[in-house]
Amino acid sequence: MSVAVDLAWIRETLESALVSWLPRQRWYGGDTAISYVRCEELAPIADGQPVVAACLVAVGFDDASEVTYNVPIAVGSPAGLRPSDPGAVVHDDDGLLVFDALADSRTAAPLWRIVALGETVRLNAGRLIAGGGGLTPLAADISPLVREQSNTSLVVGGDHLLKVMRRVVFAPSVELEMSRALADAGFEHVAPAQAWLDYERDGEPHAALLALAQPYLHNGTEGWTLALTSLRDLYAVAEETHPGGAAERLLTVEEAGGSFTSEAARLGDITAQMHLALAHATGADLAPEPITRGLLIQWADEILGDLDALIATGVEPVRELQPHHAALKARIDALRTVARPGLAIRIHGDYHLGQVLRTDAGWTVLDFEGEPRRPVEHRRRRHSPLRDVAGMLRSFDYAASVALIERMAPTDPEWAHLAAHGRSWASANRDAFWSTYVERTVGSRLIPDAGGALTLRRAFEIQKAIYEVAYELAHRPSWVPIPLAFLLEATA
Amino acid sequence: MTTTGRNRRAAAEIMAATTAVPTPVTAHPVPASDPLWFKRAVYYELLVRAFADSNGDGVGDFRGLIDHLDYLEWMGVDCIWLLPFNNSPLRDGGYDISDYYDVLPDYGSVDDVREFVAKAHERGMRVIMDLVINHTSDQHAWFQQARSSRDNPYRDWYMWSDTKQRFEQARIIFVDSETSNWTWDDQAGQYYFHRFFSHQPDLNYDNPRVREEIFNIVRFWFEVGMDGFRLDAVPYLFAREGTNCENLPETHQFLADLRAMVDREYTDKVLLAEANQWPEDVVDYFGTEERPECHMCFNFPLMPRMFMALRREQRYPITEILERTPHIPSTAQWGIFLRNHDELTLEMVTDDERDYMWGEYASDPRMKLNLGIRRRLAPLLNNGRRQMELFCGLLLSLPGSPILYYGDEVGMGDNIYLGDRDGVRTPMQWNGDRNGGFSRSDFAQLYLPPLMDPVYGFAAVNVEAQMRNESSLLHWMRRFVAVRKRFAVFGEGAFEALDAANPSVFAFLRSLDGHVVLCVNNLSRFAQPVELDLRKFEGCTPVEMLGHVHFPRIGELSYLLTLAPHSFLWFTIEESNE
Repeated sequence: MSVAVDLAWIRETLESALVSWLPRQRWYGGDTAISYVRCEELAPIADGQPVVAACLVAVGFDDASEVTYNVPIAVGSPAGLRPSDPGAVVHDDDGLLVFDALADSRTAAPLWRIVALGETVRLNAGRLIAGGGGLTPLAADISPLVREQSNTSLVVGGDHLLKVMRRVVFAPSVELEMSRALADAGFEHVAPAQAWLDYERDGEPHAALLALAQPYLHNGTEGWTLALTSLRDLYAVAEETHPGGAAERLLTVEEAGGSFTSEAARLGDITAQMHLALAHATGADLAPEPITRGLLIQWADEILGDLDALIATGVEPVRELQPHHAALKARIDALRTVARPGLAIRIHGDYHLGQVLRTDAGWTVLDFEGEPRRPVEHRRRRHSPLRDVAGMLRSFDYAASVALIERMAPTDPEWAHLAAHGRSWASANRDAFWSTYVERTVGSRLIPDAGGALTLRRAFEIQKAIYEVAYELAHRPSWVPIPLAFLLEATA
Repeated sequence: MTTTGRNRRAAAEIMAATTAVPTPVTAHPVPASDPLWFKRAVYYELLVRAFADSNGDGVGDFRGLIDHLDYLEWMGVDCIWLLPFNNSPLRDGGYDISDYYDVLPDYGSVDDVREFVAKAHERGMRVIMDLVINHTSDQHAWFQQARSSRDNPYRDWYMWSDTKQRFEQARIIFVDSETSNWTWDDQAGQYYFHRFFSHQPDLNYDNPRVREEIFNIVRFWFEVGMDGFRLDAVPYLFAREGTNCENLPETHQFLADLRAMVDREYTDKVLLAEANQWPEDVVDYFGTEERPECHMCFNFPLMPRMFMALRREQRYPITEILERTPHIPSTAQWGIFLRNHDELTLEMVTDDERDYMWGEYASDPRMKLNLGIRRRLAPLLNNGRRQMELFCGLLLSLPGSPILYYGDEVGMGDNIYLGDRDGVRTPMQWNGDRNGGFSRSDFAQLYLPPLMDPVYGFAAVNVEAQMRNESSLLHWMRRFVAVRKRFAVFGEGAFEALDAANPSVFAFLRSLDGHVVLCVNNLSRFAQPVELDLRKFEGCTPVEMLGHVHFPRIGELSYLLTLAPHSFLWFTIEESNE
């Protein structure tokens, strides 16, 4: 029995089974109403039992849009090797077992081997090309990491992280481009790209990145989790004590055992280092450009547009913004006239406490893909680095509020008392981050002088909060007050 | 006698021995040869002065110590570390020696020491002593000779200069009391060099007669029966212009020569270096396999980090420093401790961490001293029983040999109103009687007043009361010391930190020759869950080590444990029978 005969049958099986299987996967971010699945590439990359095949499928929807997914599969017999996670099984009938090849060490190994050795493999409609490489191809243990949503990350032999992209985009990879640029610039707080796997489709000008290998960072905790640990301690102290005025509250924040301010300062430091490294990047797509008056005006117009669009929705909580419109507009308009506004550089683009990982060696910045919902060209735009800064500062606010929401209902009599502590916590950590960041970047041309930097930062924080309000309205209405409170206070 | 047999010995019997003639013990004397004993031993640090007074003069002595050997054996102590007991004017707790070949008369005689060591050996315990080799007291006959004239044969046993402008890069260690490393001596007509107090002139190690004399002192105390030395302030032995006069190659050469002499002339001895440096510098004091120096070094930075981790409720302060701790030869060992006779050392933390630690653990400025905090374990942890247990659990399970400080096993407190570091050197609290059972002298005659406050005083905290109470801290400590000693993996095994998404949980493996122990610690005062990746032990069963409780078998998925506030669990990982 030849493989080719098998493949035709498997193709047919896959195209019908994946329609219901795909929406059940954590990494699947698309519409659940799939109208069809079409196999665009299906070719074995390893013989044996089971056979492992590269597989790219186009998923079509009612509105005629199509998205391509990367679903490497293992094909064997029901009596043979079986993944431990039953959810990984795509098809199990007619003497045929098909499952997600990444779900088991043995069926994930062929993919790792291609990446590790830097091989090129001819498939049916294109080819796999691995770059970098020189890694050890034999890995006893390949296991999934349960952290990411939009990709599947595998820990290989405890030494490497293989990030397998699920959504296939035929465009330069922002993540790869950024992590290379930062590594080239000597920035140490990033996991460098050790190897990568591209898929070149015949006749397609751009390759699509299918996988990226990085060193695995041991003993890591996301900044978000650490921040919540700190807040948990603070709120517990606050529940036991009822200190008086504002000065006393701040004292509690700084002296609470779980103080995060030194970590926030360290984050400010590495963020500054990251931006200074990116300010020295070279090449047409990476080199910094001065921020022109025209660009400032364009940004101000964008933010105003976002604000007006939000208010135009007219939904209940957002109506509170109406009386503050003029004050918010003034803050945004101040952007237009900032003198020596600094450099527009490639930035992280989706920077918050969930994108930084604390390890024994300090902080590491993760995921340079930018905001995943935006198109690639938008994500590769150059911006003021203060956009990243604004994202992180908003994240401190969010952490303080989320930790409180998880702790008690707003109707709780202790709420106001604890919320005041939360604001002190956010304010102390924002200050620690900001002052370290400014200290490290001062005199670098990267950002404007003190007053101008603050104007830019505030405008970007407002823009971020507007985006957050819109997002929460659609997804978590009970969290709308978090960004809304910021917008109301921003004009005070 | 078996372990069970010793367990059966009534507490009252042991207590009786603390004041009466010691019961003759023929148990398990120190074995003939066991060169790696120091890697498995549990150490107990004590001051002769503070432990027990046999003759009612208000000062502890060797006979008092002999009377209490049964207690130390009952605790499970393997090795007693004696703080300096040589003759001394006692201007720095005995770290200012005026005669290396004699004992401070208050403590007894060389013969008393000989008897004490022999009786410790009979009980299977070893003894090491502090040896202060960087400097002497200014009252030492050598210094008196040296200062008398420029051509005195002892003149070049010390370091003299006509100006203070030498070795200017050498930092001043006791910043609270000293302004220079040079002090003028009228009689000598020159300045003399000292790294510590001005009454402690540094010996001149460039003089071969000084080096040979140190060898002779070491030989003398080995002949008395000592099993080793804790070498005080080793980084500072030699001084060289243009350097910070620390960790110099000449100093390492001397230590290697000393070790070679010890290995050549004796067996089963140990040299423990006090080098308060970052781990990457400290490892040099182990030397190499070919040219070893000290058997053991203290891991100083670990201890303040443990306190910081507890207050921050996260493991990173600890895991960071363990990550920075280099591998050491298989025949070497770290000495680890929670507290000791010096203040909580903050030299090995960064400036902002030091401010933080001061803010956290020293709300009263009197508690700050030099670069540390002078508190005992119990007050540092607000007398929290769970926290004390967690810390002792870490001490007994992290890589290194644990060193207990006298009194911490019952949760003694401190007296911050006493001068210098005396606050943590108050009399051992044996019972609720006069002077806490330490001495029959008049109260006013005691070398330091015992603690008498309602929380930590001897009426509330003492050995006798805790011996009678099976759920006391003392009994708890004894049980865990026993567990540690049953498993060689703690002393000799490899260490591997485990990933855990919950930063409040610190989990690690210790392993030796296929034996694996899993330790999971909750650094938070709240209950915490943790999921551990134990798939490499799939099919095995974690068995809790104290109660031998079998936990659920390890499967393909991550292993879930829940931990009570400030609790910890120790497991052996065992093959399942099912």
